[in-house]
Amino acid sequence: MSRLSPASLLIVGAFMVPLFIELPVVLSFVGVNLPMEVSLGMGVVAFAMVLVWSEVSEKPEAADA
Amino acid sequence: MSTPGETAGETVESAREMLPDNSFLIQYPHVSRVVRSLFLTAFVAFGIGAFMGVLQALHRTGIARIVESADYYTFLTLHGVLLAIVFTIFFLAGVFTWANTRSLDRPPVSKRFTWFWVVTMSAGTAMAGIAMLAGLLPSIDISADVLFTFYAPLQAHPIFYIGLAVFVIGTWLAGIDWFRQFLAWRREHPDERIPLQSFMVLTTMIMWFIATLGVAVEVVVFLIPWSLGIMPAPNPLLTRTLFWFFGHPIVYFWLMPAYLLWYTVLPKIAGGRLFSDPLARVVFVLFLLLSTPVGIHHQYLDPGIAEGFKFIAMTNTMFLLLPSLLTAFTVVASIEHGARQRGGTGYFGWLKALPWRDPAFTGMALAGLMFAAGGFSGMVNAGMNINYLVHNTLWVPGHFHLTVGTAVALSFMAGAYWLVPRITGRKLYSRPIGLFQVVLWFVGMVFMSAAMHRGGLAGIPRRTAEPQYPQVAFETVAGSVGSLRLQLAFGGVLLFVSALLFLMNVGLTAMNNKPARGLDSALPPALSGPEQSPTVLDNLKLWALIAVVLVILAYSLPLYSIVQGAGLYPAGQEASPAVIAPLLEVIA
Amino acid sequence: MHVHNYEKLWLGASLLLIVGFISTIVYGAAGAGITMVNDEGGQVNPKELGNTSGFDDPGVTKVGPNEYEVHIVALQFAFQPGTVELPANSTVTFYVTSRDVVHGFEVAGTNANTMVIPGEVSQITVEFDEPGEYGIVCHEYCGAGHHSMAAELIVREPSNFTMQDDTQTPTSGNETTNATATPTGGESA
Ligand code: HEM
Ligand SMILES: [Cu+2]
Ligand SMILES: [Cu+2]
Repeated sequence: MSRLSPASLLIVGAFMVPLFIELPVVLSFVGVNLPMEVSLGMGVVAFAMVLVWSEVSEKPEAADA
Repeated sequence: MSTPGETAGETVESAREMLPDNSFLIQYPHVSRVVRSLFLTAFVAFGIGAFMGVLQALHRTGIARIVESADYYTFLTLHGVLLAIVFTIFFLAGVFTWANTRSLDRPPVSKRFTWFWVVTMSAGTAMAGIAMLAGLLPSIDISADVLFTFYAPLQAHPIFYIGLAVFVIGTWLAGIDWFRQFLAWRREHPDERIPLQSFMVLTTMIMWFIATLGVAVEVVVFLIPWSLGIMPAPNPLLTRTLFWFFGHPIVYFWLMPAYLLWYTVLPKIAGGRLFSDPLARVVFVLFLLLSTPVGIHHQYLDPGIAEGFKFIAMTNTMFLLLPSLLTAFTVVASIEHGARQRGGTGYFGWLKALPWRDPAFTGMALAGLMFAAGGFSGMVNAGMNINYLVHNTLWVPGHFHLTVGTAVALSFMAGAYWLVPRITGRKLYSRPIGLFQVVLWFVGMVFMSAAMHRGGLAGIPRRTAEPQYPQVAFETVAGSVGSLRLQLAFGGVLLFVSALLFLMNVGLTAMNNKPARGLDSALPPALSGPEQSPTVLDNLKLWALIAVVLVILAYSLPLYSIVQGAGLYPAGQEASPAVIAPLLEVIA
Repeated sequence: MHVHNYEKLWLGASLLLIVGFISTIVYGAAGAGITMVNDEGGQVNPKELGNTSGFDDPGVTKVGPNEYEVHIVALQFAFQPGTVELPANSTVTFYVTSRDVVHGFEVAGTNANTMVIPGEVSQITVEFDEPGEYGIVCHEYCGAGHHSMAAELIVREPSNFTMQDDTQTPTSGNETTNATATPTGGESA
């Protein structure tokens, strides 16, 4: 069984969008140049990780392996 | 909201008997009908406006130019008028009619009068709509490509201005209707506190009566006679100032029905109670007092207005932050209370206990969150000198798509998911689609509005069909202009899809044969009730008087000096395009 | 009236924030000397710009060792002149007005920005420290060709800057639409 319901995934995913859109701007203040495309790509990867975690985390050993 | 077929009608009719006696539809079938017809107009305007929105997003970014760039401005006028004036105000009228009736527990005084203002508002809308649409047909000599901030010397056809005047008169009549309903209640309950929802309706309407005086003078005294060719072109700065006299408070006219939903409906959906009734009243009184004497903050960059007047507007604007900050507190506190009632615990853990699956809740919560972001970009706009960096750039639509385009529009959509079953007796067609739709709006708006804010900082102007110039290279902070364009267009497409899903979901709800259940119309009482607040808060005459005095203080000198400067009808002003002749042809 | 303690705290913090904002702006306006567009530009007759001093011959005028005035006429759908050249490290006062409808005047990406209203003169003073090329756009919708209304501003190294005679400019009057200024002749600044 997945840990997060489709509705929770939707909402978690939605909250990640502003984070990864604003990340390059925040970084530009400290002089780091992160292209927007890379940041959004990182967002997709992060969401995929949440998705995987949600599916397998029922068995903590499996997640460690 | 179409009428159901014969058999469908019967299911719902018989199911209606299963609704509790105190459900709104059973108690007030006629008022429910009024609200349904107002919502119908609001949603039609919303659909057309959203379509214009996606066209604009694709056009100005150069992704797809379906229309001529010269027609872009006709579409933009339609977008602004249909969404910021028709959608918002018709929905407001529906919510206020519902809220005033529900909280006073009595119907409006006269059915005829109610329908009279509904028809007046609709007729005005139709006239203005015809004038705008005719701009797309070169064969007809009518146009209104003046955007929703119609000031001279850009000129629209008289039908546009007359339509707007009729529409505003319709809203005045609506306000009178709600006041009569209140006075009738008052006769029966001489010593009671004004019920909270009705209090919100009445204070908002007093604010509206004061605010619309500016636009009424602009349109009736100057623009209509000028567009008919009876009077010369008015002082452009004067028409701008009169417009913004009304143009800022209209912002709060959009927002107040959303606040009404946040204060009174959202706590119920979250499973809790409003934190404080007195504070809610204070907030609405503050909006009544401060909404109007700030309009000059839209004219920080106008020549012909002394710095001191701009400064006064700026100070008032900053104080106008106060009621919104108080609202943030009360709403979050009420939701948290709800979450704890539902078993939520911990510092942040209670967030998990909220009804996130309910599109009505999630929509309003996301709307509130975006409003916080919109508040920050609004503070930049309000800052008299930082404003120079962003005035009239894409930053500004970026800002107000967070506020009116999301805080208001998304709250209205979420509110509709809750309210439409209550005025139709039909079950919401699909909750999952509703949830997906409100989240999609949020995501689409993050994309579109972030790109707009950034484009604005680079100096990309708003209201421009092709903001790509041989002479100008825009420099952005993070990401290229090209990627900003993609983001803007992508967000616009998501928003449009979300709007379609909403309309579909509401349309199918209106035709749904499954009856709604458990539509108790009572709202839970506040944790601190009205008895905790001083009765002076309910003294509407006093607040109206103070509001008028503040407006006179803020506006009499600037208006006087503008008229002193260039006069009412300065020499050398000319209409563009001139549309005097066509009217006579149309009549003939 | 009963007010919860948290409410009081929040109210106090909110008021502090607001007063803070107002003070920064007061400081910005009074202390750091950021000037605003105000009513100092005065009024003109938009149909008589050809006979109005400054606007009869729009362009750059030198008025002091490091000070320049630039008169600009906005019209559907161009700025006059279409190219403005200035030396870096100079203080420049723009006088902008419109011949027809309301326009905007914005040096893209900077805070040199004003509305341009027919009958009123917008006066803004700007300091250009760095050489570079800037775009000027009209940011107020002014009619069907609004999106083609732009001009350019070139800030040159003072050593590279030459301009027309600062007292008399012999070239075209305001009859030229879409004018491009001629960056030649005259003495060097
Ligand atoms: C499908 C969703 C929407 C999309 C894709 C969209 C897109 C846009 C875009 C791209 C602009 C800027 C045009 C320009 O300055 O050149 C704009 C302007 C505007 N939008 Fe939206 N919008 C949407 C929904 C809304 C909503 C819900 C509202 C308000 C309730 C709204 C109110 C406005 C207003 C008032 C303007 C300014 C019009 C003007 O400058 O005269 N929009 N919209
Ligand atoms: Cu405003
Ligand atoms: Cu323009």
